[in-house]
Amino acid sequence: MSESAAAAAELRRRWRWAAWVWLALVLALAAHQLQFWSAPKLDSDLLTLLPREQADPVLAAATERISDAATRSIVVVLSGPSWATTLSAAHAFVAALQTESAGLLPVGAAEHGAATLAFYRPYRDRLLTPSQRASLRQPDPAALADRALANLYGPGVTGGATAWQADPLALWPDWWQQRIGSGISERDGMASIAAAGSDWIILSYESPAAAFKFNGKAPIQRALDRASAQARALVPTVKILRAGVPLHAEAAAARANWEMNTIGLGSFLAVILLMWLAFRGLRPLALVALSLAIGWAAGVSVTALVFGKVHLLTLVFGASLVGVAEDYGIHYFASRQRHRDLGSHGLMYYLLPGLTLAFVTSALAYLALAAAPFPGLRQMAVFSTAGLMAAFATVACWFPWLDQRPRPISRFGNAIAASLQAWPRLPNRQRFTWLLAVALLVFTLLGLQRIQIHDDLRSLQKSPVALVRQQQQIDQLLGLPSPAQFYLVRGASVEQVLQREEALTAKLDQLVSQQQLKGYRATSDWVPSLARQHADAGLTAAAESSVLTKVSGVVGETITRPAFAATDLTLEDWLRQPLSAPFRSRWLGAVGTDWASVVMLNGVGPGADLGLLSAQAKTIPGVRWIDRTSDISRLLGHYRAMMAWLLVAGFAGVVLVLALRYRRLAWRALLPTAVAGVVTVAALAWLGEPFDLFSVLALLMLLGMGIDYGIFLLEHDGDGASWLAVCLGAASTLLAFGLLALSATPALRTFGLTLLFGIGLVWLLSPLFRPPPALSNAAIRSTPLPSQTNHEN
Amino acid sequence: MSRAQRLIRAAMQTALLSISLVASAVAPTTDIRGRLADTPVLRGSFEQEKQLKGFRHSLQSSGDFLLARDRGVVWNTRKPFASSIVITKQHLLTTTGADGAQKRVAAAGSPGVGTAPTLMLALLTGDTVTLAEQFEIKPSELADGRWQLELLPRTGALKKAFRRIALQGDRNVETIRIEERSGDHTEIRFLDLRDTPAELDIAEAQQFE
Repeated sequence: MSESAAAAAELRRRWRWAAWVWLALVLALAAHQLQFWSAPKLDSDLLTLLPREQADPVLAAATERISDAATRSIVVVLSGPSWATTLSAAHAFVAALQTESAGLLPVGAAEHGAATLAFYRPYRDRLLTPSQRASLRQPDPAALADRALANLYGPGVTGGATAWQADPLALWPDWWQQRIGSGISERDGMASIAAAGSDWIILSYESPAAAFKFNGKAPIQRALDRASAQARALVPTVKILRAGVPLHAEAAAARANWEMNTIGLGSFLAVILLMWLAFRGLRPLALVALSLAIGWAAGVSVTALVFGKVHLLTLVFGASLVGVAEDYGIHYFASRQRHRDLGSHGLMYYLLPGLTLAFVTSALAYLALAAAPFPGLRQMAVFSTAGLMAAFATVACWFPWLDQRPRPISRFGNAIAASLQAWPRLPNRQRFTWLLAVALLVFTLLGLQRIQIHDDLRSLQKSPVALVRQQQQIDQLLGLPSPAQFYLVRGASVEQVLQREEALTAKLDQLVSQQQLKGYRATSDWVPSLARQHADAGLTAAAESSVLTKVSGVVGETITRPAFAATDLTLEDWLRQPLSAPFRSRWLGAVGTDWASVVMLNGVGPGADLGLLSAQAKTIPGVRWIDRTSDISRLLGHYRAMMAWLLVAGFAGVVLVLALRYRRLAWRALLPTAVAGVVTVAALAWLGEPFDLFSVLALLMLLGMGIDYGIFLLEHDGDGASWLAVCLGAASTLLAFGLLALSATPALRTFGLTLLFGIGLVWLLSPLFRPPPALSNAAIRSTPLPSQTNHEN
Repeated sequence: MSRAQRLIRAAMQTALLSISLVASAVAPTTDIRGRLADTPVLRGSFEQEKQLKGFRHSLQSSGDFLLARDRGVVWNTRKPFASSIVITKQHLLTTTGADGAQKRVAAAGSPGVGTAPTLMLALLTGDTVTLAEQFEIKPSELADGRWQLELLPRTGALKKAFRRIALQGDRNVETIRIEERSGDHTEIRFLDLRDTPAELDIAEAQQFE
């Protein structure tokens, strides 16, 4: 007796240490939380969820530049029944938006036009469009002179860009036209375009740096909505479309906020309700809530410390943690009544091996998410593992102290605990069992035939349909450059890069003329290579000198060609001009010993012939076709296959661990999860859900969590308390992932659905495979308990 | 579209806008509108004199024109050499030389061209709203009883290109004088104006195709 009392005292002493250490950590955590939420570093940019091109610094720089340039701009286009109504609607829109506090800055409407013309004017003689170049290579002097004379004598004025002598063939306006993009013109002080049968006004805005607030509101969207309402009040039939990355990011943030609250709060309330029903006490309820709160906070803090920022999707996914982390607390309280003789510390000592094993398998399953190089998945893995560990530590270190006395389990709880006896034990020899097994087998085999493997980047991103449609319409109207498909051009010098760009754009011009491409945007559009400048200057000098001689004869006086710049138009000069600001993101500059640039394509839609575009890059050295969408989809496929192998390996690992502890009973813990996994895959295939990386990852998590139920039932066979814990745990897990299945993000939906089915099945199957009473405890390597030998104590 | 692009576009636009102003103009004030003949088709001849910087002599040309309110304008230069420009809502077509070499620019694909004819036709039909948005208009009566409109550009881009534009006339616009910031100026006189028949004949209509 004194021996056991000493052992118990020793146990309490060690527990006291653990509790104080954990308290110190929780206080540090609380301090970090206060600091974090005072200025939360939250991330809503979907691009940050995608893998970076670490292997290729040039490509990494290119994608970063392009996404930086894209992440702030917003475009609004308007069209009314007539130009006058369009114009007044646009004025109303602009005026209304000025009174909004969303911080949108209008782009344009400044006085740089003259400076831009002045910068290029000395170089006019070496700036030609491809068709001008072609026609000047085989000049028809008489026809050129006629054209020059028609321009000179034609109605009206020569215009402000150059004097007639400086551009007698009127080559410059065409060159500018090509720079500016087809169709866009300035009209009544507004950028406008005639397309799709009507005239549109284009308004460009820049949103302030991404300092958005995590309150579920969408300020930019609401400001645009109100401005649109003002425009519609004036012109009811005006069409207003908007596009831009900030709108998608804002919609995602608002949606994520809603989802996090729904999933987090929903499963939290469900856990509380279940606890109340089963234990009828405030203390178990408060303690489990405490473990969940500490777990969630630890998830946020550790993620913020590791990654610097926390992504919104991580928070959404993390909300489902509530449904997993509550298992430990519930298991403790479910066993408390039955093992009241052990005391709170003794009970925890008794439960610890099973709880630890359950925690380790769950944590391993979550950590497996981090094996794929997707920053988003890594965040979710770190968040969940840290959260689980903190919830587990809270239960293990604190519960024995904070839970003073055992309390009776409610009638509801007891009913559930007793229901275990109603489950048949398998295998048995009843015909019904065999029929059911065969039916399940057929269902599964047929379902597996229907599997649709589908690796698509879009599973990570789902914007509201209305927003996507507007974006597509604006892409159609304006031919905005695609941020996902482009050419990467490299060379040993600036000149070589520009020359390679020109070789590429010559090919692209052919595609444009065959209407297989809408257009492209290249640095060499604005700064031709020196070789090209010299060649083109030669062409215009020859043609224009002969034209001026002929015209001199007609007008009866000698007209001289003015001198042009003696030096070349250089890239360095151009980069220093304000006019190059919108285009600088395409010039990557020096990368290592090389120089690099990006050539972007306009309006590459779903119907684009990507194979053809890719083929253009093959014959020109230093030019690479980049298709981020297909690269990432391919990566998703690669990791789907890899993770499937990891799943197999993980399963083998679990088999090994369980076999060590449970020997010949191990299969009873494994089989429910294995069957549930296969049947889930089949069931989702029947439902037409695609099978992708996220399905595999969900199966990995199913392995980690489903095994727990088997473990709990094996550890404490015939124990209604374990069954109560499994039921409560499974119910809250089901609810958490069931709510995750409502997510608008396809990847999270896949997670949710797979785990909803899988956990549900494991829950149903686990009790079927519990061992016959005689077998159980004999096979398990017994855990010595300090008070077990002293039942009279 | 970038700021720079828009402004360059504005500057380039000016040249095309001026064509439409030269082709014909209508007074915005109700008084003068009342005096202007409201005809669907107007034919006549013109004399144009340009004084350009860098040229000692002025450049003189003459020819005839055809204005159809719902189609556009045909501007045929006859002297000192033949050339023609057809401006419609759909395109801008230049024909030059003895062999009739043509250069056609579709309105849809080309920025500047798309708006100038539309504006021009708005001018012809007396769309005073459009004109008043671009220009401050000062009407006055001349000693001989004819009217004059002085157009002063409002917007930055137009201001950079034009100092002023003056229209004079009675039942029709009879002279247009354009003064540019560069120092160039152009004067066009309209003669032999006829508004009958009020419909285009087949040959005339074909010029707009």
